[in-house]
Amino acid sequence: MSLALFFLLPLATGFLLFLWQPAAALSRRTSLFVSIVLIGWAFAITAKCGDGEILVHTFGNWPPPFGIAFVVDRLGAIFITLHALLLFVTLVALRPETHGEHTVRRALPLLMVATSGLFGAFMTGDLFSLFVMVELVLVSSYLLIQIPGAKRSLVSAMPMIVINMSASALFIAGLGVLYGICGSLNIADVIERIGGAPHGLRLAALGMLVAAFATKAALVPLCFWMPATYPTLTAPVAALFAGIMTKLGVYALLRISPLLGHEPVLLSFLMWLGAFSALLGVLAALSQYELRRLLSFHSVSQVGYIVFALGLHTVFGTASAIFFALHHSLVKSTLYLVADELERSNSSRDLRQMDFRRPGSIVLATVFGVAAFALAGIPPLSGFFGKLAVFWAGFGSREWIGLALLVVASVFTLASMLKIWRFAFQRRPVERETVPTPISTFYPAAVLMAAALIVVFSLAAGPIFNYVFEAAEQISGISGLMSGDR
Amino acid sequence: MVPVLAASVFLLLTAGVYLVLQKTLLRVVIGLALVSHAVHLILLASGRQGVVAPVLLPGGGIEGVADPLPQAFVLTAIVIAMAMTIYLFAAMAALAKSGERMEVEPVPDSDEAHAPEAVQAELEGRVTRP
Repeated sequence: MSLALFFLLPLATGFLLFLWQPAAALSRRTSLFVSIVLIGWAFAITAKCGDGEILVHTFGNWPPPFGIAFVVDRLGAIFITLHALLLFVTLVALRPETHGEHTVRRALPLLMVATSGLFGAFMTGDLFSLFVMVELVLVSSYLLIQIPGAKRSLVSAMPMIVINMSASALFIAGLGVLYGICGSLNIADVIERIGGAPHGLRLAALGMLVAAFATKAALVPLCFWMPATYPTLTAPVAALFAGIMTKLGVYALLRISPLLGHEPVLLSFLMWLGAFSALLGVLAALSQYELRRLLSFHSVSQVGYIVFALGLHTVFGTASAIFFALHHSLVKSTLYLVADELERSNSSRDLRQMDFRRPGSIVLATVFGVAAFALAGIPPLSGFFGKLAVFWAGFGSREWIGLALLVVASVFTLASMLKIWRFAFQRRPVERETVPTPISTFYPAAVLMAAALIVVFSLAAGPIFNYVFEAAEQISGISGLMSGDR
Repeated sequence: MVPVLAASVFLLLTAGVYLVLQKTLLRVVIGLALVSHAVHLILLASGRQGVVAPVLLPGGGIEGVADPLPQAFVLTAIVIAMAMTIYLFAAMAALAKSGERMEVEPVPDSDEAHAPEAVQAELEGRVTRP
């Protein structure tokens, strides 16, 4: 199956749904069908790439440095599969009965277009088309933010748009300078040519790219667009975004990490940025009372772990960064879906107004427990393996201060999960003036599915880590510049 | 040609950054447009031959010919930036319709003070649009 169809199918579905405007239920069924097809494809190419094959599709048969090519290696395949799975869970959660007919009808075409942009970004072998794909994802996300239509979502969309547009400007400027010194934007080609480029311009180009990607990945000084917008997004869409949108920045950083080997300053900058994000993000999270804002500050902290491991620039470090990214996507999406149920059953986004009142909450509490333990890194779950790998990589590179910051952050992670637990699950129902609208039926399908994904991911941690390790070897093998594994 | 380009990038960028930091939303949008013009010029400059060199000369020689690829990049980037600017104007129109001031406002902190019914309507997608 041609790789281009991977990009075209969701795009075509998105436009079809937009022009056709069917009833929400039909629109949802169509999208679910497409997403199942995408999952099948994603697993197929993951299996193919597992044998070390690199799938290439050249547009118009122009050979790679001249034309645009889609290139899928292990790293791309992993992220494509991750997104396909999360998309399915999101579509299951986004029901007209719970989130409104209008919301679903407006959101589905946009989600499909965002999907095609994400797939394009994970497949492209060219930095400029990476930019175009990222913009495609961002445009759909800008529109998705405004769907709830309340005053607050209109107001809080502005910082996200302005900050992300500025980051995009930096991205283009970086690409301009990079093209000027390398004469190409094909990633493999740039990796070959950048060695001979003048130092100052190289630092400027890569520095601008790193700043742009760090903004999209929401690292500490550049992260504030995320906690401002995610609380007002339609909740299942927020779950998808929390899972995959910040990972787009991480993915771009992973792709350019062989280039960064030429500028060790940027690598150690990334490492410190990651370590401080991990600590400051979780401290900010601990001080929040709004559930989804707490969770999004949490993402800042967890992305910090990923970027710390990436900044170590060893094969093992890169592998643990990819593994942690996968773990965090699954867990954070699950937590957002749980948050959605909690918010709607309590008629509030604020933890202080939540209590444990709803039949079926036992299921919800169990799922929250699994996800929270996984996030905190309690042994049999995936977070433990992720953190172990990141810490191990840090030990190997003897980054003691950074490691200490991560360990402290890890303790606070557990504390912030306990905070949610105490407010949302441990309190007896409080007296209220108005009784919130009861929700007639409880469909924990999406929540259970997300929890099942975490459990499967934890059980299969060994094979998945091997795959991820090979992916890390593959991307660093192109440059041959990364130091050996320990 | 390069000094002229550099000077225009400098001017556009300073004006753009100044405007983005203003409080009025219209100025922010225009500022973003100026910033994107500045980076487009940077991208254009990576073609090396200056902005007036053609991509093709009669006779087909490559001497004095500009690299066409950055020009294609810039065209794409201009289209994207234009779409973003239009989108921002549309977002401003939505804000104006809902009776908001056209200014950058601090994001409301929490909906602790809001009525549960309103929050519930918002969470279930039942907000009536202006």
